[in-house]
Amino acid sequence: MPRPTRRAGQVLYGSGIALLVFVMVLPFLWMVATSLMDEFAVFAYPPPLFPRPARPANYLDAWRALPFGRFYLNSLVFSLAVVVGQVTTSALAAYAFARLRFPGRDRLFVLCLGVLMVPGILLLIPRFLIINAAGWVDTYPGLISTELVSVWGIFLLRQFFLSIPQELEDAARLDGAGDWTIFWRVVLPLSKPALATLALFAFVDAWKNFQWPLIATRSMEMRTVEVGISSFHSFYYANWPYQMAAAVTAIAPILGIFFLAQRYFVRGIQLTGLK
Amino acid sequence: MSARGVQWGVVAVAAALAAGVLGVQRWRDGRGLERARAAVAVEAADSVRAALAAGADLRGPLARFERQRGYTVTVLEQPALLDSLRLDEAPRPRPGGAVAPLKDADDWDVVGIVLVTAPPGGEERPPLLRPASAVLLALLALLAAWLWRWAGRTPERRRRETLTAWGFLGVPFLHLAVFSFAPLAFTVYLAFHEWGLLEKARPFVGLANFRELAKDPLFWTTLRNTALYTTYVPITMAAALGLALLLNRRRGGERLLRTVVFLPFVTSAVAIAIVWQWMFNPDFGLLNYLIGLVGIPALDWLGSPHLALIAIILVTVWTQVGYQMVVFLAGLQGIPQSYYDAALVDGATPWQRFRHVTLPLLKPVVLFVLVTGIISGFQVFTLVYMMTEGGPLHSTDVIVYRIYQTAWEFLRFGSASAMALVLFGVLLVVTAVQFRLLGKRIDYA
Repeated sequence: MPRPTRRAGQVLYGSGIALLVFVMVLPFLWMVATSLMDEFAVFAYPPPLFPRPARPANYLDAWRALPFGRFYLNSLVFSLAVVVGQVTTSALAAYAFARLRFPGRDRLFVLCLGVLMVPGILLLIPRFLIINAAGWVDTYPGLISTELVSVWGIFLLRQFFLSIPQELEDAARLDGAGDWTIFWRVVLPLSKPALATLALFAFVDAWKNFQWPLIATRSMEMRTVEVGISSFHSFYYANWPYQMAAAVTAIAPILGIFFLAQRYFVRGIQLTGLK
Repeated sequence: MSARGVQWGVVAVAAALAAGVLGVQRWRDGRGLERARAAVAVEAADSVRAALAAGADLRGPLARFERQRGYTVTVLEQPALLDSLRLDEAPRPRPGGAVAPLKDADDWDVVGIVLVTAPPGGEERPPLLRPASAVLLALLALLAAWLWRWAGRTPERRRRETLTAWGFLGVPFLHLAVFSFAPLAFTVYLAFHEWGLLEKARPFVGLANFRELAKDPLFWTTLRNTALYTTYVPITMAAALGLALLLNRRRGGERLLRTVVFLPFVTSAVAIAIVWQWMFNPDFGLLNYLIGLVGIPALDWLGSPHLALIAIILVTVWTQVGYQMVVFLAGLQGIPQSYYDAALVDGATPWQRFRHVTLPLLKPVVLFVLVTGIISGFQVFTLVYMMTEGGPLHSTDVIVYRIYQTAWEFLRFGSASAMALVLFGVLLVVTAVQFRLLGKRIDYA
């Protein structure tokens, strides 16, 4: 290939990447910039790109305007409970599906996978009526109980457990280990990456979950961060800096986790997206 | 465990469950009786009030009421003690009785209370076994009988394995049964009933909910909008595949780009909606400024019925492209280099290599992304809830938003369930069609 063409290709490639990065990052940058502006400074044309002067007090004000501390606590309780629940139940069920034999196992597994086909809203209606009948609306048990099992998690861990060599299990059995010991001492320690991936996805999904907390909670004290900032959005409709400050505080923990554990995200998508 | 032991264990568990079913039925019947008595008390209070308002002697109407309804009525007039706020201090009804406030002629002040008591054996007794519990018990008995037979004829080793498996599976499966499988059946039940949160009556209405949907033009609009919205899937796929092909060559910068395009995927939809609403602002938004730089006049993105859905599609493409790209990249990296080498030896042009090597081998991935994308596209909610609330002029009203409103704003759970079932049916058909069209000719490497 002649040199100039390659050079041109390289330049084209580079500028394409740059343009793309610009498009993807711009809304985030503008969110942060707006969050630091004065309430009325944002109403200018052309739109100001940099806060002058910066007004970090927006964050404090937004934080005080609604009980954001409480929102954070609720989201944290919800997400951690979901992580513990989903990792535990998924590991147990996946072990039975992947490494034990019992009548109807594969049919039962397909039945479980069928839940993935059901639109979320279809299950939300009866689930809400169930927790309503139990008197659990607007409580932690109501919020958490429905989310403790994840079919996706069972699927992910089953795929991983299947890949663990049978020889390891046989060796443990020769040493007199029962199923529980094999599960606890052989399979789980070998599956740490998969368990970490599941925990991560469960946490992020629970944190990002909007529909269920919106339905299952009523009072300000029980709202999660997501639902909290959505009410902030309607209370401070015209105050864009406040809204942006609230949005930044809401996504900061998730983005932090993402930057720390990016490869687990990619692995999770590759494991279940493609098998 | 011996076969006998397992069999008797099955019987014990089945008996406990049967007792539970009967207990729940009794509790529900008790609540039903209480409600019926409360209704009688209210009725009695009304007739007492009518008699008081007419200035008539109470004894005549009361005697007539007692004769007709078979309840004893006692009137306690305590105007000084009772007001509407302190009704909870009223005497507790005895077992088999109920109280109702007695209001004055203006239906305003509480002037006393009315106490009704059922004479022994005077009320209709609830049946010992209701049809629903009978069905449950029969199913339970069938299951128990089947397990009994299974335990009797299965060798010890397999029996133990099965018991172990259910030990592991028990808790997750119970949760799925209660919060996934039972709700699915419950939705079907709801779709054939009128079901509010406040009304006690929940009558069976047959197909009325579905008939109402078929006649509701708004429902068809939401279906059409939802289908239009899912066009984001092929658009995003084309963009994501292009990016994946570009990055697959590894010429630098791909790690940065992968991180960056993945950002919106991990960000919450609520935050994305807020930011983009500000981006779309017709007067001060960044987007109109940017398109103004290339000479396009300012657009009222979310305010125009022609543009609002397109704006939401735009945001979705921006959100999803990174995720799809990661999936496509993984697929591309699974194609062996030797195939391309062989194609090169045969003198294939880049387009031919893409068309005849990459695309056929990527087909399972394409199918996966398409099917899951359309399933999630049909369920779009948060962006619409946050950015447009279905407007303007219902141009962004999508089906899940409509179901949400029907259930949690209009409190019509029966109708909402019917819509959800229709959505489920549409999704099943659409998915089946995709597999039919694309699934058959998958060339596995």
